[in-house]
Amino acid sequence: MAETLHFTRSLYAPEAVQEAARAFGHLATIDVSQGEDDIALVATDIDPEVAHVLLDELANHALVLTVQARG
Amino acid sequence: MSEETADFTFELSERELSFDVDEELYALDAIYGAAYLFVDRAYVFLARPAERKVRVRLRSKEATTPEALEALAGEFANELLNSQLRVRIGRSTAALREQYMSRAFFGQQQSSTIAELLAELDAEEMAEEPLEVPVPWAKGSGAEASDG
Repeated sequence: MAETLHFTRSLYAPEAVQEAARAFGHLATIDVSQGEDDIALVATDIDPEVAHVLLDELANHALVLTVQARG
Repeated sequence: MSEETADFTFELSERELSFDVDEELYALDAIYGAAYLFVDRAYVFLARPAERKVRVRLRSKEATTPEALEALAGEFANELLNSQLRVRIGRSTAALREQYMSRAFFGQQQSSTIAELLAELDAEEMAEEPLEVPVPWAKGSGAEASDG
């Protein structure tokens, strides 16, 4: 089952979302596609043990990287 | 007479709450600053429901109660205010900080360097204790002469 998350580009740095997707890549198959206003992230083949928190944790990770990138 | 109202409304569900923050009142950096402090306690997700509005969603990492979630929202609101104040102070003192930094890096060299001050301290200590063994890094301690 696929789970999707949309990150608003004006709030999340695209590099941060990409980096977060890479960091969680061993727990699911994660596709990232860049839209004009948002970055769509689709996760499939999610490790069942972490399925209930994967996208939430990934979103936190992307947020932290975004904030850190702003300095 | 105009009436001022403090408006902080949020939507509450089983494990999460969300509320909108107006960027006319709080800088985006202040929102980031507050959100950053909550990532260890909650799952934080930001969205943009409208221009100049940021929707903050806080999802508890553990089972929680509506009261605890409301308290979390209140803490976030307080932290948002703190963060906004830090941003404003940071902006208003930016020029002053830059001036100090440029003086520190590019200004005239001060007469006393740290090494000179340390040597001065060592000399004072040795004056009080004549039997103290001279250290090689103290200028004029005599250690250089005894080596050769």
